[in-house]
Amino acid sequence: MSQRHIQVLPEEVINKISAGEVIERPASVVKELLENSLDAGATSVDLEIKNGGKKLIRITDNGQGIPPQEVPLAFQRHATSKISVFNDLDMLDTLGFRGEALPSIAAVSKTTMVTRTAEVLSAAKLVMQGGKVLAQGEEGAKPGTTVSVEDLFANTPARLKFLKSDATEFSHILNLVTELAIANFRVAFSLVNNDRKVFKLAPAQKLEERLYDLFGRDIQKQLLPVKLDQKFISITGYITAPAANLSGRNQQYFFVNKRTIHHRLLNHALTTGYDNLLPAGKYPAVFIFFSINPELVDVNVHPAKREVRFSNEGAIHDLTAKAIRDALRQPGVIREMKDPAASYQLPLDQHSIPAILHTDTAPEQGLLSVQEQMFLYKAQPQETVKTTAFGDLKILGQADNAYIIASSGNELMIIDQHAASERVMYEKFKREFEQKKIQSQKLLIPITLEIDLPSKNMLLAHGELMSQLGWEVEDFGATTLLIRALPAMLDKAGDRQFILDIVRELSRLQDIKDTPAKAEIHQAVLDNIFKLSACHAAVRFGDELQPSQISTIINSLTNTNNPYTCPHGRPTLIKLSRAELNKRFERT
Amino acid sequence: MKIVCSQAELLKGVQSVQSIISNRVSLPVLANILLETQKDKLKLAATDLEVGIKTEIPTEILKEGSITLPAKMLFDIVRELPSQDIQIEVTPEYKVILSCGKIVFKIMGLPKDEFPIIPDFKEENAFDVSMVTLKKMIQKTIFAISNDETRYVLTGVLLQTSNNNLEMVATDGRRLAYVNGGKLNKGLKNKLDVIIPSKALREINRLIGEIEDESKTVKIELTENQISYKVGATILVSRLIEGKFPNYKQVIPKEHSQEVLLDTAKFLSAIKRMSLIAPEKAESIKLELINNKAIISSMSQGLGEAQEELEIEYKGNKFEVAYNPKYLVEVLKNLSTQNIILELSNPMSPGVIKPQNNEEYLYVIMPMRL
Ligand SMILES: Nc1ncnc2c1ncn2[C@@H]1O[C@H](COP(=O)(O)OP(=O)(O)OP(=O)(O)O)[C@@H](O)[C@H]1O
Ligand SMILES: [Mg+2]
Ligand SMILES: [Zn+2]
Repeated sequence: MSQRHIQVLPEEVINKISAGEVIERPASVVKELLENSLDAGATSVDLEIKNGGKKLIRITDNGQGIPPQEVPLAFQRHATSKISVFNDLDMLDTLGFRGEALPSIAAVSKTTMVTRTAEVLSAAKLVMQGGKVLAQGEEGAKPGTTVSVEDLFANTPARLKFLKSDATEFSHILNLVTELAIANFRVAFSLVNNDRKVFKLAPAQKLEERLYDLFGRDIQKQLLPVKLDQKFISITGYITAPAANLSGRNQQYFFVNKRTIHHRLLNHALTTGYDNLLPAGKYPAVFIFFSINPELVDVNVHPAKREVRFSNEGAIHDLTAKAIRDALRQPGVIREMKDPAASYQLPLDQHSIPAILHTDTAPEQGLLSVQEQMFLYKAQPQETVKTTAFGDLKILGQADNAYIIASSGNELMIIDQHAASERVMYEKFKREFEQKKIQSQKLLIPITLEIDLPSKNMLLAHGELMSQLGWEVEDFGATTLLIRALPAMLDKAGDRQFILDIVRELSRLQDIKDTPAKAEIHQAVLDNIFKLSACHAAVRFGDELQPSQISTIINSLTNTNNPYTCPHGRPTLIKLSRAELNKRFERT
Repeated sequence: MKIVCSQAELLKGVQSVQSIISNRVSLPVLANILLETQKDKLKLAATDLEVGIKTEIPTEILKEGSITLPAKMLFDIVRELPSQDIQIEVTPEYKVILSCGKIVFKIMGLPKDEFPIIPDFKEENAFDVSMVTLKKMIQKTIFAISNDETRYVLTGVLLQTSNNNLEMVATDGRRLAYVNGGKLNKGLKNKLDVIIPSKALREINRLIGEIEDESKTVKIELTENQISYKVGATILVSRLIEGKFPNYKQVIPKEHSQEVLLDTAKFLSAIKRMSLIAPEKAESIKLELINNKAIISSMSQGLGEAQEELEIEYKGNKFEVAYNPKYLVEVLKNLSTQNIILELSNPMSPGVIKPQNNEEYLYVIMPMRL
C-alpha cells in the first residue's frame, strides 16, 4: 500500500460529500476506527472496550501508520489521504474518503493516537480533548496505530443520556465487529470487553473458516455456496437452506466491495430468491459479497456510509435473486428443505377424528350449522371465559395419541391435547412470571450449547430477564453458552431452535427506542416468550398420555381463563351435542 | 422348511422376541418374526434395528429352511391354539401352512433375505452377572435417564467397571443415580465403559422376569459398538450409545453440612400426599428442617396449600430447600431400606440421598429455586 499524503480536500469536493452526524454511539466510533485500520492495510486488529465503549474504546492495528508530521492533520476536518479530487471516488478502494471520522470523534471525547510508520524509529503521540490538542509527543511503539477513545460524550451530556445500557451498547459494537470480521476474514481480530476476552479470530484463508469461528462448526452443514460472475459484478458467499434457521434477520449480511450495506432492495431480492420456500418467521443466514466496479456504486449517499446507490438497481436485484435461486437449486437442497417443514404437518389420514366430523353429503348450509353447533371458538384474545362449564366430565380415552375424547352430559368433547396443555402451561408461566416466581430447576450437569456469538451475547445481555424467566445462562467462551438452570416445566432444554427463537424475541427489545409503544413491545415480547415456552413445555401431539396426565390436563384447563383456545388462538376443544350426533346419524 | 414343535414352546419363544417389534416399522420385514431351522432347533428372532433379540426352541426338523411371519398375527394364533404339537410348513411361494390337530392356518410370509442379521453370542469374551444383581441395578438407575434427544448420551445408562466392580450410572442432568453391583467373578481384560440404551435395559429386565435365585446369571459380551446379553437360550443384542458420558464423579458432592435420617416409607408418602395439591408438572415441594422436625409443604396457585411434619433428629439451623417431587418419589419408591440419609449443604447445591448402612447406592438431586 503506497503512502499517500493527508491533505485537506478542496472546498468544491467538500461540498459534494455527504456529511452529517457521524458519531451517534460507541459502535460508530468503533466502526470508524476499524475502517481506518483496515484502510491502512492492517492484517491484525485488537480491540478493547470498557463499559460498552462509554469509558474506553481502544484499537491497535499493525497497518502503515501516519508519518509524524501529518498526525495533527489527520484530526482536521476534511483532511484525508484517501481521495484528493472528487473523481477519485470512481476508483475508491478504501472504506473512508471524507476525512471526517477522526475530527468528529476527537470533538466528543478524549482521543489519544499513537502512530508509527515503518520508516521512522519512534511513534508520534497526540492527545485531543473536545477537539483541542491536549498534548503532543513521541513514544516508543511498534509500527502501526493505536487510537484510544475515552469518556465518549462526557462533554455533551445530552447525547450521553441517549446511550443505552453498557450491555446494549456493547452488543451493537459486537454486531459491528462481527460484520467487519466477516467482510475482512483474512484479517486477525481480537475483542476484549471489560478485561474479558470475547473472541480472538485467527486470520482465515477462506470465508467459511471465519464463519465457523463466529457461528460454531454447526453452521458448516447448512452453508450453500453462492456464485455468480458477470462482467461488471460478481456475487459470492454463502446462504443457508430455508429450513436452517439462525436467529432472526440479524444474520443477513451483504457486503458491497467489502462495505457492509443495508439495502431494502437486497432484502427484497432475498425474499424473491428464496421464492416461497421460507416458512413464516424463519430467516436464513446470508453472507453475500458483491464485487462491483466502483464506478457503478455510489458510496457517497449516507453520512455514516451505511448505504450505497447502485447505478442499475433492477439488474442488481435480479442478479442477486438469481444467485440465490441457483444456490438453492444445487442437488440435494430442495429435499432437505422440504423435509423439516413436512414434519410439522401430519399427513391428512392421521386426522382421524376430524374426519368423522367431515361430511361429503351434507349441503353447504348443513356444514355451517355444524360449525355453529360445534362451538368452534375463534381467537378472541380480549375475551375471558370463566368456566365451570365442563361439569362432570367423563374421559373416554385418547385417540391416535393426539386427541382426548370425553363426554359431559349429552355432549361429546374432543380435545386437542397439545393445544389444551399449551393453554395451561401458558397461563401458568405468565402467572408465575407476574408473581416473580417462575419455578426454576437447577441443573446438576449444566448444558453446553453451541450458538453463534451475536445470539449468545443477546442472551447474556438480557441475563436478568432470562433469570426472571427461569433461566440461568453463562458465557462458556467462544461460541458456547452454558445453561445452569431452566424453567422447571421444560423437560428438554438443549433445543437450539427454541433458544434461538427466544433470542429473536429478545432482539426486538434491542431495537425499541424510548417511544410510547415501548411498554407494549416489551409486553408483546414477554408474551411471545411465554407462548414459546408453553409450546415446548406442553405435551406433544403424538405423545401417549397416562390417564393421570389426561385428568391433570383437563382439570387444569378448566381452571384457565380461556379454556377454549390455545395461546395462539387455535381451538382446544370441539363439542358435539347429542342433537348434532342424532342428526348426523339421521335419527330424526 | 417343515418343522414340528410344541405349542407351549412356540408360544414362549414368540413371546420372548415379539415385544421388541415397534409399532411403526420402516421396513415391512421388521414387523415380522424370523423362524429358521438351526441344527436341531428352531431359531426365532425379531429386531427394531436398535435392539435385536433371538431365542431357540426344541423342534423336530423335517426340512430345513426359513421364513418370516407377521409377529402380531403369529402370536395371536399360537396363543389361541390348543396345547398340542404344531406343524409349520413353508411352500416355495412363502405361503405358510400352520396346522395343529384339525386346525389349519394358511398365512403369507416374507423371505428372510431382507431380515437383518443378529450377530451371534461369543461365550469366550463374556462375563457373568447375577440376574438378581443386574435387575436391581437396572431398577435403581433407569428412572433417572433423560428422554431429551438433544442430550443423547444421557438417554442411556452408563455401565462401567472400576476396580473390577460393576457400576451403573444414570442421569438426566437434574438428578443422578449411581449403583455399585459388587465385584465381578471374573477379571476383565479391559475396563468397561459403555452407554446402554434404555430400551435394551427394559428388555433385559423383562427377560429376566421375576427371579429370586441368586445363583442364576446373565452372560454379557461387549464388542466395539454392541452389547449382548444371554439369558438362558435367549440372546439380546443392542447397539451402544456413542459418545462420552459426563464425568459424573464431579457432580457428586464431596462434603455436606446437614445430615438427616428419614424413614423411607413415611417420607415417600408425605411427598406423595403433598403433591396432591400441586399435580401439575413443575410444581416444587419444600422441605424445611427445624427443631427435630422435617416440614414438607407445597402450594399451588388458586388450589391451596398443604404441609406435613415428620419427626426427625435435627438440631441445626433452620434449613429450607425445594425439590421437584417427581425426582424424590422415583428414588424413594425404588429403595428398600427402612431409612435413608439425606445429606445437604445449601439450598442451591445438590443434595445426596443414600440408603442407611449401604454404600452401594447414591442419588444426587439438584434443587429448584426457592
Ligand atoms: N489507523 C490508521 N492508520 C493509518 N492512517 C490512519 C489511521 N487512521 C487514520 N489515518 C489517516 O488519517 C486520515 C483521517 O482519518 P479519518 O478517519 O478522519 O478520515 P478518512 O478515513 O480519510 O475518511 P472518513 O471520514 O470517511 O473515515 C486518513 O485519511 C488516514 O490517512
Ligand atoms: Mg476513516
Ligand atoms: Zn398453539
